[in-house]
Amino acid sequence: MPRWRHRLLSALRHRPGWAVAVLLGPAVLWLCALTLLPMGIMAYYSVLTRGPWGTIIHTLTLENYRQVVDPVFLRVLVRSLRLALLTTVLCLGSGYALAYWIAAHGGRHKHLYLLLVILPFWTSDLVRTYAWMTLLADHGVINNALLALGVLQTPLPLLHTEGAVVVGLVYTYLPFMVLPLYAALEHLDRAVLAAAADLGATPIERWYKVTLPLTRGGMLSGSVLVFVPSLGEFLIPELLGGAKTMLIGKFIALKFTGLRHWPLGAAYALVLVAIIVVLLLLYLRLGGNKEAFQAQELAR
Amino acid sequence: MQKHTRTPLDTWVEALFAQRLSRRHFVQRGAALGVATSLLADIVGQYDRAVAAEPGPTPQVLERIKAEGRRLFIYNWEDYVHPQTIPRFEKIYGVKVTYDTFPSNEQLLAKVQAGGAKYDVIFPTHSFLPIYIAQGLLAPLNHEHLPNLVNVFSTFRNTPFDPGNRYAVPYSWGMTGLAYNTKYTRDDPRIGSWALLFESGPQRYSGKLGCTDEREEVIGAALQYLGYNANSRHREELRQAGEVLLRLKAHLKAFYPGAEMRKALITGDVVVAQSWNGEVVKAREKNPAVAWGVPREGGTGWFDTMAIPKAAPHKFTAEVFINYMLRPDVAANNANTTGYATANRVAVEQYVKPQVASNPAIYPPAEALARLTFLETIPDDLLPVYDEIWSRVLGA
Repeated sequence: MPRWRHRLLSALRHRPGWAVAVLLGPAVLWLCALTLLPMGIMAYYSVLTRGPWGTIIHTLTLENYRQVVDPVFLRVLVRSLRLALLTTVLCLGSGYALAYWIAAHGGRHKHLYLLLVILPFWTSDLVRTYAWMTLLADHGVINNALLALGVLQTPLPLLHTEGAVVVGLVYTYLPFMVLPLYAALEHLDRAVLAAAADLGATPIERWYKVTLPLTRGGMLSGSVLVFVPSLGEFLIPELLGGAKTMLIGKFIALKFTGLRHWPLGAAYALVLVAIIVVLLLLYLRLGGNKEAFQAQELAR
Repeated sequence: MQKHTRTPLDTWVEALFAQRLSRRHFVQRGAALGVATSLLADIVGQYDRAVAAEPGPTPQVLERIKAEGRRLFIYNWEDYVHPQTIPRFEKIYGVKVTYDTFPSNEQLLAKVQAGGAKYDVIFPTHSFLPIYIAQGLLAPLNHEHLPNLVNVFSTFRNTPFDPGNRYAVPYSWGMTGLAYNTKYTRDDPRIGSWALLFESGPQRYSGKLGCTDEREEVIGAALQYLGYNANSRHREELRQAGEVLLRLKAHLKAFYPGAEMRKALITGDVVVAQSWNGEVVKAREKNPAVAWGVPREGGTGWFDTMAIPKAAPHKFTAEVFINYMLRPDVAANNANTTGYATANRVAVEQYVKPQVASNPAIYPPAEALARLTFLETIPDDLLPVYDEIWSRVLGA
């Protein structure tokens, strides 16, 4: 080992503070530059005043936050929360079944199945959403097939509905649910299940009383990974949604670009961030941090 | 500057900007159009004839383009030039062009206002020009580099939105009216009126109605349906227009940007829509059942321009490009494919395909022209009123 490397390592060993700085430094810098700084700028903009024709005047005001209680904004917010929740529940239901099947019955092809789950991510989000537009349009693939088969007389309105948005969201975010659930199910100790069986638990009881509680961490992290981006999603409601499916992400974008009211858009965006932070805190209370906590304990 | 003689077409285009037209003027202009059409017919034969070889760029021009790095960044509407327009420019001038598209004027303005996006040529609509100019977002044009500006209709060369073309050069113009699919509307008595959208729409075509996504034009259509001026500055009239739109909203499929509107009209996903004429012209090529007209209560007119943002890194190259776009053959090629009328007089007279030049959905009869209102810039004190209406309509 070259001398300088030896010196560096021993210096780090004797000064644990330095080691922490070297290990965490890049991540902290990254977070500050790309998350905290923009958030700070956003927070500053949210208390500014809009000038003529959408310019920005550096006069401080809380007026933008007063407009948050605007009934239109609240209606859009409630609609977004409802659709994000629905997406999460649907992802959880179908994702759990899929992850369970792969973990339990995947055999030696497990990794292939996981790859298939991730595969769609190799193409652009935009292209995949456009594909859904082609499928769901009034004279798209699905309607045309059903019309040709005589199942339908007139095309079903599928595209530009809330249903289309939810389909798009579930399709896009399902892998975020499957992967943590798979990890949780894969690491499930089979001996515990065997013990439950020995003690007379039926398969349903085993699932309900053993598997489910032990995979709660995976369910929670999967739900967060699906819920948070669904709530702020812009592209999918923009393309698959219609006149009646304005969601919060698009509404905020509208304030910035369509109405050129940056301060109000920033205030709305921060309110959304605050809602997400509250939900994440709730998640930590629910035990989402248990594993992290255990890791900390082990480190000691 | 080279002078051109006034033709009937000039008089005709002037009608676009006439605020009030007397009955007599009306007839005169109708006659003017008749003359214009026959004039066009005479010139038809010239179209396919080889375009006189334009003298290539001088070494000085090429030298300056090279000094700027032989790059050009263009920000335009989707499907708004002939597919060969940009490759030809790249070849003639040895420039590498980056061509991006934007979906709406608001988006374009927001991007230019934010700075950072270093585009060299942008295509704002006339009513937004005063905003750009007032905020000092555009670089003044050097007319010495734009000798082809004389090809543009004289009416477009001195508009109240940008007097004397100091900052922007007209590209093409169009109309916002009523599109409908005759397969579904058949002989609906409300055809020819905004009532087709606002009255029979909810009953007969619920869920199959569409609107553009340009705020001023959607609100303008509602104002015209109510019998008000599309440029109304009365809060009460605007409030009523907002109510009309909220009622329509329950039956509306979506607010479409241009190309999306075209697709929805072709497939029949949308049966009645407030739409730009050019999208309908292009939709009709695929689906002949799609028709378009200026409603009897009036439609809105607009023209798009080419301008150079103040922060443009390749200003000279941008001017060379604008001058190239003003070449009659280039302008005609663009007009032949986009479905919108070119602002280039020489192009219309000599190069635009006859079936395009005689298409009433592109070059409408004078009486339809007289029903157009050109949208004006929203005064700043009314902006919050428009914002609120639009937020409520979109968010509901």
